[in-house]
Amino acid sequence: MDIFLAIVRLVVAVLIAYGIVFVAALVNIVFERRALAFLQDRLGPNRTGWQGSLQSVADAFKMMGKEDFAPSAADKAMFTLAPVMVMIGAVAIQVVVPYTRGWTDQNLNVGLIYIVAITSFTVLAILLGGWASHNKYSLVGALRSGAQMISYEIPMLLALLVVAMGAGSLSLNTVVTAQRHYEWFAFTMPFTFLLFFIASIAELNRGPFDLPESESELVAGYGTEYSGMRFGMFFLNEYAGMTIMSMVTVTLFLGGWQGPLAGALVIHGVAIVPLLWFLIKVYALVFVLIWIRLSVPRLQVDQLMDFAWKMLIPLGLVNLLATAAVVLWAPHWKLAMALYSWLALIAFVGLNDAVLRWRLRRRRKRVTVTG
Amino acid sequence: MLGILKAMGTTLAHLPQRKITVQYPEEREQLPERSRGLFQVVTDPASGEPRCRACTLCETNCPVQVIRVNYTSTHALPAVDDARISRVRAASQPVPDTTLIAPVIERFRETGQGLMGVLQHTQEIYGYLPRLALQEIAVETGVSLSQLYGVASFYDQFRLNPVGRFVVTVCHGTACHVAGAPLISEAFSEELGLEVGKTSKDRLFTLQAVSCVGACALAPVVRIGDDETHGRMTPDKARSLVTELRHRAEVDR
Repeated sequence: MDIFLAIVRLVVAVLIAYGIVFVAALVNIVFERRALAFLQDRLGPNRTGWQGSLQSVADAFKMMGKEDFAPSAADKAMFTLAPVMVMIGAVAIQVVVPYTRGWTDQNLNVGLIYIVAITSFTVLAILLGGWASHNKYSLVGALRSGAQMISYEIPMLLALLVVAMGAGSLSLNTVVTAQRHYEWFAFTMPFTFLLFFIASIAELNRGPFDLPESESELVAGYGTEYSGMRFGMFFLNEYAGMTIMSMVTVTLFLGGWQGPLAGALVIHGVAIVPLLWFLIKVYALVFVLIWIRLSVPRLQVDQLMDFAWKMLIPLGLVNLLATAAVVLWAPHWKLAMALYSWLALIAFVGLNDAVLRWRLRRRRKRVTVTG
Repeated sequence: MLGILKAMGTTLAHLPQRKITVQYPEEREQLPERSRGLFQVVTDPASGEPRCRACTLCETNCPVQVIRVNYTSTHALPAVDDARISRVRAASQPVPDTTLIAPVIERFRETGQGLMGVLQHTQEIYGYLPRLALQEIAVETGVSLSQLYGVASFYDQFRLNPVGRFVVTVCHGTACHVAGAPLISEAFSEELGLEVGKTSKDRLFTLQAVSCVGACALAPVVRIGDDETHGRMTPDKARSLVTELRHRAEVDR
């Protein structure tokens, strides 16, 4: 009986996770289009449904109605497998995300490591899709994407380790409870939060790191040969990823479901009000992602790699070591960690432009001497 | 990093600003007074009659063909031969038997397409496109006369004037020109007493010049009607050809 219950629980959890992925993707597409439009003094799509709310539903049906086309040179099995596989990351991450108090599908004690492990699936699917398309543009796009995602996984991991140190556990539920009384890690370790946030944008392949699908350079990146619903799967995953990654970020840095009136409405041990806080935080973060995409121009591929390997990874390592030292040796380590992290953040924000300018000047000088 | 924050501030400042989109069918922008956005027939304030004389010039000239002149006067129907050219042309043409084109129009009605086909069949029947037949087509099919005229005058294959029994076509392609086509044309027009492009009074000959008939090996080439071709013409041969054709017409009579 227990096994039966466990199986039902598993199926329900997976169905909910898939549901969240699809709904989140559709919501995000409309949300992004409307938000971008408003930030650009436009109105955006507002005809389908109330204020255009059904626009992406209509788009999804359109996508399903399209011809399912595969190039004759493509590796059929892999070509079909890639769009299916690309969802795995977004779905599987939700297994460990605490939606609200009393609702976590699986309270893994290695949740953080699980997240890092599972996000790589998306890279695999993208590489597979690009390779199976048998098209050089797809392949180059996929390789760019793979290189980018692997590079930015490292600073992400380094930031996650700092979170684990702060919470004293790798379980996401413990991470959330460690942030009670508004001791959100975004406040106590803002520098780590910034590093993680930048890395997560790159993981999502979103602007300013949306090179894998840069229209002006690579046709459509890894998705060049994909059309119809297969393309739709990549597309949905991309947009669902915004919500999923924001869920992770909120859980790790913004106190998860924590908020006032946490115990106001509890049904079968699942608190409803915190779910609301969780969603509000997630969508605030999604808006920030959209906002950043609009404001920051795309990087060049060398700048992208430069930024990961020469800025984020060294900074992440230094941050990891410094935080470790603070946690180990400082009295009142929480206060000391917050002090250190805020100082680091101010220094990073203040000095970054100057350092970049200095490096640029140095490079220009070198170029004029040799050339 | 500070630059990025500044950029983000700029974009966020646009969030609450007034949107510039005008939702067209519901909202309309205030257009300047002299805007020509909407067609309208102007009414003469004195008589109350529309100032439009239904000349269909606007219909013919409209590049996107959105204008249709569908004029019915309260006083009297406009005369069919309103324009001078068409009156002259109609006067010069024998009254055609318009019942001949009824099956052609019937076929057009069934499919609703193939205006070119209708005109081609009409030309097959009469040898040219009579003014009254065009009017008949316009009335029966609902395609405006001006549009029919536009099509008929655009293509070289359509003739708006009756042709003679023998259509003498002199090729003026490069090869024929070099081989002396101008001399041939000259000989024909001397012998027939006709200018190029005209039809003789007795409706026996029509003399015309075309760019190429595609038989450069026989240059210079002359065709009589659609099924007789004479190659390697000289002015002398042209003259004897005219005599022969005249003789043929005598025999037929």
